[in-house]
Amino acid sequence: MDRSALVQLVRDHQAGVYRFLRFLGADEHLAEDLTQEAFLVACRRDLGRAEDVDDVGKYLRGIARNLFLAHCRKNRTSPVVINSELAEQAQGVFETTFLRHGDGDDYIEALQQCLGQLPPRQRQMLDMQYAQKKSREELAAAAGMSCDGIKSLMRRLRAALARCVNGRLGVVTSEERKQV
Amino acid sequence: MQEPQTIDFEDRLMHVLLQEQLGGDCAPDLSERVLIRSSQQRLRVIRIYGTAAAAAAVLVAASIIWGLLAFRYPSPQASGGVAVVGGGPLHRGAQVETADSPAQLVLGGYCQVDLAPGTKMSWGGTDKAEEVYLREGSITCDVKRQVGSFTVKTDSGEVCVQGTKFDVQVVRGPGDEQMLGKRMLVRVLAGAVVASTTWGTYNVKAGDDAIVLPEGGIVNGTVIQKGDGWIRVRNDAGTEYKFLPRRDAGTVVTDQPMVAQFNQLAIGGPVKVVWTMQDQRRILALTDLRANQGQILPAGHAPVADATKFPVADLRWGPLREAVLNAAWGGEYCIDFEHDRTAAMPMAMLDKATEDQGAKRMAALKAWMLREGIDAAVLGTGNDAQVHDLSALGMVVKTARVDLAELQVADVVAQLRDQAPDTAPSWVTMPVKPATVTGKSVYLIRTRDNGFGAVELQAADKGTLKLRYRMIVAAPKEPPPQTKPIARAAAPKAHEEEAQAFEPTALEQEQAIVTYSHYQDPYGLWRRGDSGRIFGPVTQKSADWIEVTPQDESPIRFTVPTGGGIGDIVTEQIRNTMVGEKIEVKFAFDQGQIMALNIVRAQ
Repeated sequence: MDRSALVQLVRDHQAGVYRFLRFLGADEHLAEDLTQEAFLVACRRDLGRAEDVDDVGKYLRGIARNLFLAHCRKNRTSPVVINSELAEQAQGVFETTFLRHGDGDDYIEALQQCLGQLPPRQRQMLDMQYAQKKSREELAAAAGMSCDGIKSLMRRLRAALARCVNGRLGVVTSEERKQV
Repeated sequence: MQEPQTIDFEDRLMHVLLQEQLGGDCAPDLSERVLIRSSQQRLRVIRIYGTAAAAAAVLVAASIIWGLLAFRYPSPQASGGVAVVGGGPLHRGAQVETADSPAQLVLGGYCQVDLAPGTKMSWGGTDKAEEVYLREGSITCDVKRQVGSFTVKTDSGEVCVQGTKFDVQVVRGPGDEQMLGKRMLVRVLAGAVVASTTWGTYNVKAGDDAIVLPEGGIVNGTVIQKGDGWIRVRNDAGTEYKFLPRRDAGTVVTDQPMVAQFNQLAIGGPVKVVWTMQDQRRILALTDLRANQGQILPAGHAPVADATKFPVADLRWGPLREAVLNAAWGGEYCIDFEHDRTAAMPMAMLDKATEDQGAKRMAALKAWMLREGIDAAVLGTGNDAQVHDLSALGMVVKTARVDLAELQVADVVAQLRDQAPDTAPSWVTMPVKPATVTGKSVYLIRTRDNGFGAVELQAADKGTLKLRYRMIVAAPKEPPPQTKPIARAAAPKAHEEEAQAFEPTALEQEQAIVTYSHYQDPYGLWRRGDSGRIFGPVTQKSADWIEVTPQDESPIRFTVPTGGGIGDIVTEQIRNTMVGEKIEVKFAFDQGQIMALNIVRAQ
């Protein structure tokens, strides 16, 4: 693969591979290292011959998944996803829930719109956790709640955002199907 | 027996996306690192094959081992007037400089680097993958074939070769103080090189030369997030950018003063960012516009004037604005008059202050307001209580005797000019209850940042306070009338016909848009003979150059052709052009210069 093709490949797919690794449970540094490693593996296999691979993104995610599992086995860490079956399941969810909406772009756009609609207090709590990276204890102190309460609150907020995003994208969830 | 693990993947997905969208957790640009490691990987593959072959024959292996033991990678050799910054022997990572005389380095026995006087560079890389980072000046490199790779990096891009002779020069635009104007000029003397920029990779052959412009730009916008060593800014068009501090050339040392400056920025505060691409967007210069220090505010916002520094004739009223402060829990109960924004102290900062609703909480609020440039707040009101006053921090406040619309700039300035804001800021109360014959609560205000203005308070629903206010701004100076195209009266007659040839026809003007879009992409590298037109506002100029910044692009500096003729005409055109004015420049690239051939004011 020549240099320009490799640079293009990395720029086109690095964000997706990194996001997928974070989804699997890799921390920021590990996700960065494994993203880099995934491209090197692809490069060794000469991914430049694009006709050999139908979906380059999927192919790279497969490499990244295997690298992540190998890392977990080697280092005996216990991230969220620890075995190949769950990793495969996770990849399936990532692709069907997120990527099928314009390679994730539509999903993110809908999420941004939903974030904009949140009431100020809820948005402030999300900002404190995700933007200011406050600990659960700090959030609990600020909101006058227990740590467990904050954990539930955050989970409910994420679920509400997921419902809002699905609503915008016209997705009917399995839960909604059951209700119907 | 272990329970089967169940994971709520949808929740996890949302968690990851929120980390990304709100926390800026995104992948950095890894292309450079992958490129470097892929080239090292290739070398390793060759070594592995060599070793395997050697293992097949003991005798050959023995001779190879002997050879490896006997072989030592050549040490660097330096001659001429080269100095290692900080002293000591030349080592990888060292910065070297030449003063008035040239010098020569031989790296790894296969890369001969001739440094011109006034050159600054660092030596890095690994054995057989030598690298230098050129910051200033010019080097000529002669690389032996089939020994190893050699890379010259600059702030604008890099040149990678396997065996050839070429020179690289870092060129500054005239009067350039910032890296944004630095360019990398590559001249290939033998063979060919690959020049890489953030825009792409290009082959440059012997006898050719090419110039690489750095990717970068200027963003005026608002800080919407900040974290440990990064900020996110939204520009006026709504586009968001994440910026990091710059790293020292060729190192991973980050710009610590810039990190400290990040800490001083306020969320929601206006900033001007000059950035360049160094694997990610990194900041060269950052102007915090809250305190009106930079005198540049986002489009649509005239700078609020420190009225004490302007003649009254140069001042006028800014737009009438309205705001509602909300004293309810979670509401925005504070206001910054200069920047037309409402805010609330972050809940996390209440911390233990929440335990004590009195002194501690007030001290925390005061400290936050001082740091964030907030002027006033609604205090001590429950969710359902009527708001009785607005508390200003350290401001000069005077009751006005006329309606807000009737206030005259000169009167306001005269009343406030002699009373400076409190240096040890204390609270000043502005009652909502009408205190004047007009039946309205109108106050003249001078903020801690010396913003002059007037505010009218109106009681609204319970727990809220409505405000109408105006700030005094500096009146823009009227530009002197100009004719189109830019006058060439001073040009010699003989040159006028030459210049006429460059006068764009209507068709050419239409085509100019096409020409410009053609240049948007390959912009990173210009070759001899490139020509076209660029349209945009003038951002800087001097007697012999003019800088234009097309929308969403880096500034481009055009020089005046030498040798009279068109040069004289262009000099005159530059003289008649004003900063901020939109122009179209017809240009050609040659000898490492982007030369302006004709300048036309935009229709």
